Amino acid sequence: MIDSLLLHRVQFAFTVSFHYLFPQLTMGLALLIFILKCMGLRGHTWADAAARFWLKIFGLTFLMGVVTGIPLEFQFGTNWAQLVKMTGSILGQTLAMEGIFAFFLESTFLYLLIFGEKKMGKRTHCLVSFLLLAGTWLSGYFIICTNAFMQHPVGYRIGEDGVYQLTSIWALLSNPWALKQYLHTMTGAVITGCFTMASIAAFHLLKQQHQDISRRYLSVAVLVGFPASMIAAMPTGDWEAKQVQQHQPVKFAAMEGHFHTEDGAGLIILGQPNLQEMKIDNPIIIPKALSFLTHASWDARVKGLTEYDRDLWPDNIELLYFSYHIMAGLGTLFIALMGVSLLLVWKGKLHTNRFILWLLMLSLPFPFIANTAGWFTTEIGRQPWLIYGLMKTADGASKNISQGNVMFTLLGFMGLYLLLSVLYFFLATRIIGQGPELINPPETKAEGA
Amino acid sequence: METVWLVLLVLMIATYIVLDGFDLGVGVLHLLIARDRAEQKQILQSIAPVWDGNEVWLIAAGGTMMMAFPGFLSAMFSGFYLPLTMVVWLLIFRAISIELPHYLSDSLWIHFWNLMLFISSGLMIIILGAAMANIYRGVPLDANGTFFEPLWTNFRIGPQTGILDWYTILSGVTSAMFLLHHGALWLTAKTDGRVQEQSRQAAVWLWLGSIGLTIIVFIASWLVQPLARVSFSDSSWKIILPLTAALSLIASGYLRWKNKNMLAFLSSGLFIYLVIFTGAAAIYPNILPGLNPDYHLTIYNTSPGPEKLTTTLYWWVPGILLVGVYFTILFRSLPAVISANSDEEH
Repeated sequence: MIDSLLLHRVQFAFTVSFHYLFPQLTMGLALLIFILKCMGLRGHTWADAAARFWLKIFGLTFLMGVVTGIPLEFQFGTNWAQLVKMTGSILGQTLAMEGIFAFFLESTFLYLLIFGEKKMGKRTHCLVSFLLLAGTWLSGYFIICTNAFMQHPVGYRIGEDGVYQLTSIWALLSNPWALKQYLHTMTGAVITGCFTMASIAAFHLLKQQHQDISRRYLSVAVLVGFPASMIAAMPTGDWEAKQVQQHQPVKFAAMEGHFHTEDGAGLIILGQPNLQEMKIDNPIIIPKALSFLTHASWDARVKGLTEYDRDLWPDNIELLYFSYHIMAGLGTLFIALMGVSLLLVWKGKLHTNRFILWLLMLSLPFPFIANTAGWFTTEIGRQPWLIYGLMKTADGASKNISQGNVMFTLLGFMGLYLLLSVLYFFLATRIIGQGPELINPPETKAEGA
Repeated sequence: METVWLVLLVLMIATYIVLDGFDLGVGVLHLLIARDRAEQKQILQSIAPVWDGNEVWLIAAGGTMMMAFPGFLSAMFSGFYLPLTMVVWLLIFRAISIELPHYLSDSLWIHFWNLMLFISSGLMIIILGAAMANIYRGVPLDANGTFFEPLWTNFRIGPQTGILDWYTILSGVTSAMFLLHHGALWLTAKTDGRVQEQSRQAAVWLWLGSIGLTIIVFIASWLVQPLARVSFSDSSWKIILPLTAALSLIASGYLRWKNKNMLAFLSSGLFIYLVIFTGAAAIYPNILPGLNPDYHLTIYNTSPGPEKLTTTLYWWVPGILLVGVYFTILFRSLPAVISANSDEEH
């Protein structure tokens, strides 16, 4: 028998993970589209055509993000009613702000951006693309603030009735945890945008279609993608790891697979955690590196899992460990691939190097996997806490709903999202198949001449 | 301060229903009015740019509700677990069936999604009324302020309420009538040619239907919720709300007859606002009445307290004013009239 708490958790995890596949792409693409619009402003008409093409993908992805995002807000109330009852006046602040300051901005200016190009001047159109960028990035910030409160609660007071009250909205919005997590998450989103763009460009170049335009926006994707990949590791990834180590030491030990307290702890690169024997099977370890990365000293002491009460261990250490290592491993791969691509752009040879183009084309799923794994690390690692150190996950779920009902809605979401995936895949493939030039033949052809 | 936030919250929910109401109504009407693909396109073009922004009001209202009345949101959402989850599914269907046809060229597929739009919009306009009626009628709250309602029991109002009973179904049908009327007036104001003529004719019948159902629902509501009688006799000035509501419904018919189409649409919007405010005023200061009078959820026992609510106003008010600016830009960017043969692509 499956208990309803697990079903509540699986349902939220499933819907939120599926949802986040879309906004990470739109937040990344919003930046790239804005860059293309700015280039268009400086007279590069190919950039306008590329922006138009990417806006089509953006629009479709945005729609999927919207429809899969609505259930999440509902689920706070339906599945996590106790959490809302106790902390709603705090979490509701950032969620209401997201609605009012970000969603209205996005929904208004997306329409104007897609359909207003003929009616408005180039400058205004570029400004609209900036407003859309601002909307999507603001939206991300409010969500990260909401999550950051659950990771590292600040600016609250617990009343006599156990209900959480906000003492400072400013503290909530400037939560130091949120700032670092936001930078790391957003660079992750930019990486997704860049790899998606690079992958589609590589696809067209390998098929020898739309070559002129694909070659150019491939360079843009690589020029943005390389620094983003670097920043994701250093400094933002490093900041995140350090703040986890400082404030959530159990999560940190579990995600590193670090069982026993050691001086001069090694960094585990590969290996499978073995909880029975409290060790890593088949390890490949860089000696002393973990101590150095966390404390800037090769011989510093790093606390292991066994240091903490077993009740406080995350309940799925293996998944947490692998999520973290998959994210970090893919992050390293992104730096390497974008680094080589950048070198080839510099030499003017990227668009003819079929090997790298193949690699770029096939890399499409990896940033999505890396971002999802990153969120898994964050969220599984927070267990057993819903609000870290204050409220257990088991205390936040709705109590008045039978498991059968939760199972019913979970299966419903799974079926529906399967349908959405098929539709998205089918339609995105169609848009990509049409390619950038067909979408706007007159201008592009004029420029190519 | 709780009262201020109740007014603001009801205002947001009502704004959602007024705005999304017309695009949901149009979602149903498009299959009934349009004769061919060109007319379908003409009708759908009138809502395609705005439906997403309209729907954001629901999301923003949800966030505001969580912030201002967390106790209400947690009781209501977990109590109405099944219907609300199904509403989410309908909203997903509605969204993709408006947007997907733009990416498709095959007429069978387009037809399929138009049918899905018809079904999901139709169910939504009924559910909106049934949902309001559930809150107004009251639910079996226990001492912890929680409840769980099955979808239906014996369709009677009694100790074993279900989400669907004769009263909530009646309200659902009524809200469908109001919102179809609202949608028909939108089309009358925003289109021309045969579609406009058909919408105008539909609006006449829907208007008559709305008047009839308004009278029936008003009497039913008076009987169903004893709190309403107390509320209106204690503060009799509240009677101004249903009275002006009735006037705006009559005005919307008169203005349509006079060919002042946009004004007729706005008047119907005002009518919907006033109906929702009448309902809220009737149960005030309760926000979710219990069937047992000891367990009513009020604006006081579900909110975090007045001083918290006051500070929130500092960002909320400028935020909403900004939203007003966006909506002005958005609605002004729409063409004044959408013609069947316009090449305005969407």
